[in-house]
Amino acid sequence: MNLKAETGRDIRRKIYNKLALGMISVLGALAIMPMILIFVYILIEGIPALSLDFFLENPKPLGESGGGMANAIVGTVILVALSCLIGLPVGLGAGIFMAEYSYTKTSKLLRFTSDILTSVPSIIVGLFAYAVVVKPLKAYSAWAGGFALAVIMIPILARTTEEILKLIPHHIREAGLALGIPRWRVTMRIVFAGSFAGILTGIILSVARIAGETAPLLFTAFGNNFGFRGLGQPTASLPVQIYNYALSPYKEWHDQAWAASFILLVMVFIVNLLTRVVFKDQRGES
Amino acid sequence: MSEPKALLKIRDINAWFGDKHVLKGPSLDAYENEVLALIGPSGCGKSTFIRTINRLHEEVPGARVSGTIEFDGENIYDPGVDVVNVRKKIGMVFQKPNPFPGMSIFDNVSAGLRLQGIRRRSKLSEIVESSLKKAALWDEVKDQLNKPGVGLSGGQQQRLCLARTLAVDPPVILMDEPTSALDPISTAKIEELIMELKADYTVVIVTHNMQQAARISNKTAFFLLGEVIEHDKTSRLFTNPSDKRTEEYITGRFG
Amino acid sequence: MESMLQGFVSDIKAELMRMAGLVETSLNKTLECLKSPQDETFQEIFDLEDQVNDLHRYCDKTLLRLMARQAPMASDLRLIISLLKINGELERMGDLSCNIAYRIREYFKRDSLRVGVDLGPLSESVLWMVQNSIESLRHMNPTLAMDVILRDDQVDEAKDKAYLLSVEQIKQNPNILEPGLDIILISRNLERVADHATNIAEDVIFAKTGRDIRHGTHDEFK
Repeated sequence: MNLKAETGRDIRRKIYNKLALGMISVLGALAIMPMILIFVYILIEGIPALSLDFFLENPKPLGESGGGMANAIVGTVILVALSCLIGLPVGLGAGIFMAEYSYTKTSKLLRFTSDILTSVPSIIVGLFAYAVVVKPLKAYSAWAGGFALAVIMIPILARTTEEILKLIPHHIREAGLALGIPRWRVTMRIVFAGSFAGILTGIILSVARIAGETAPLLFTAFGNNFGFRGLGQPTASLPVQIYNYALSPYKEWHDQAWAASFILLVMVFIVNLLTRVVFKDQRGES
Repeated sequence: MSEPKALLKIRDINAWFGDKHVLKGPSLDAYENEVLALIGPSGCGKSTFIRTINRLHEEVPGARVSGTIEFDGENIYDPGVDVVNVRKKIGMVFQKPNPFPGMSIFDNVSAGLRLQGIRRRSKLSEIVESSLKKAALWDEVKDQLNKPGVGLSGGQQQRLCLARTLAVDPPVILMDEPTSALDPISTAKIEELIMELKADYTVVIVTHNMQQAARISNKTAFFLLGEVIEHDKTSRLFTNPSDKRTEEYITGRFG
Repeated sequence: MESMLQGFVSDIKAELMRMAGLVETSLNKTLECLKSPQDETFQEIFDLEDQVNDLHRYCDKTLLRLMARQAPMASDLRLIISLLKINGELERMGDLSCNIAYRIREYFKRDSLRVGVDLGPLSESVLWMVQNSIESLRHMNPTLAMDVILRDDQVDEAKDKAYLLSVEQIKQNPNILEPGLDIILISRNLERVADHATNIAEDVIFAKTGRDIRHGTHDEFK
């Protein structure tokens, strides 16, 4: 028998193989390009505008040089914290319910609404928050912004939590029940605690997602130029600040917007990196 | 010697999954200090049967049970009975080793006690040690009790699960094909442990391995299509069964 | 449905039946020599013994391997254990047939000294038992096997009779001591052949029904 590639068919097949591989590689490179370009561009434009003042100072009135975005950085942290305060219990609770009572009608309804909510445009979520929080209270506020972000966070978190809990095989739950452990304790102490690393990843990813949202904050948290004045007051955030500055006609503001973009990117990047570390820990365990 | 006591009196158990009638009224007794093996072809209901004994069957959506199971004279299906208390008395080891994820070896073994509300560390330590010793795992893990349980080998994991069950000290231990996922050496160890457990416990074991049933059990029950066809001393059932269907099954002439 | 194991068992049983045939032939020839001793017949008997021994070894080895590899259960297990024992019984019968032939040859070498004992009825009963124990094995027929077992008493009686007659004649005429002893040994060995036939019958009953009726526990059957 002759096993060497000598016939025309063999050689043709090899050429096709190389061609296909080459094509996929080019398409793959094209897909990565935007990401690399965005990163490089923001790096080039953003770093020169960075200074210590950028982190410590609030924006200066137009015409004065200097100033920074301390208000927006603090504001983003506060908004994210608020949305976690509202979103985590609800999102995790819904996720646990869908995973543990997955065959019930309530779960099916929850799953359906979560999926719908995930695909609702975020500007509409902002409008909703405006209608139910801003209008009754007659003020833009951190509460309203946190609420809007929480509404975006809840369905994402609920679905990831459900998926992660479902990774725990059914017989692990049965093993807990068979030891005479009450059902809710099996859920919380064995299933939930056992997939904590995964849940944490889900939380971090949903935080990363909402940290960059602009639209729902436009008419909820609104923004300010003077730093944090309380949860009931308009609150600045990086995305909104970037939005406002980028639309302005002033060169200094453009530079600051670039710097803010850079910071936002770094924040999201760090959060993503964090999930890698958490996941690695979990893998190291098993 | 005193008369052996029937610790479990199972009468006329019917079980359904939705509309599917999987157990059609089998009755069995399991005595103290006895290993009772349940054999039969796949889908004959032996696993469902064993899961009605600790009321795990009803946890499956759409599952129903009727009949009575007396444990030490008390019907575990009486309306007033707390299922959690039943399971404290009737433990179970599963087919696949299933240590709790994210828990150390110590936490795994003490899980039953801790999550039932026992807190005293000294008492937990004592029980963890004695349970691991009974499961012949102590010497292998005593220096790494804080390491995760899922890091052990398959055979060790299964002994860990056995220790976890023993820690709750149930008089009855149910085993659902406990060695079918293990290598022969690990299987031999588990079998040896079962023989030792007989001194203090009643063991009901489902197995697909007839040689295993022949090796370790005192009595064997043959299940077919949701019924008990024959229930007899193992030595008799495997040398001279009285029912033709048992004979056909154990000699591999089924079909 | 026949399992793989049962296929193997059938093969071994075929070998065992071949061996039984050789033993039966050997015994037939031996009893023939009791009437008309021929040198070549004696030689044939001794040759048969070699073949029987080969089969004995072969069946033992094959059955051992079968048990190790197939882990038989219930009727399969009983059948294999019985075949293992029957294999031994057949080999012993072959051996005894040879011993008897040897003794017959010695008997006829001793000039013209004869003992007036008719071994005909004894030989007939023994041959019947051997043939029918083998038949009961061939068809795994416990009823026939039971008949074989019940015939054993007749053989015992016939042997005792031959013994008493021989002793009596030796007492009257001490010259026939040696041929007399030959007759005693021949009848005793024939009786032992019958014992092995009984054992085969008992093994057949055990394999088929799972009942152990040995050592006088078969009274209920009579």
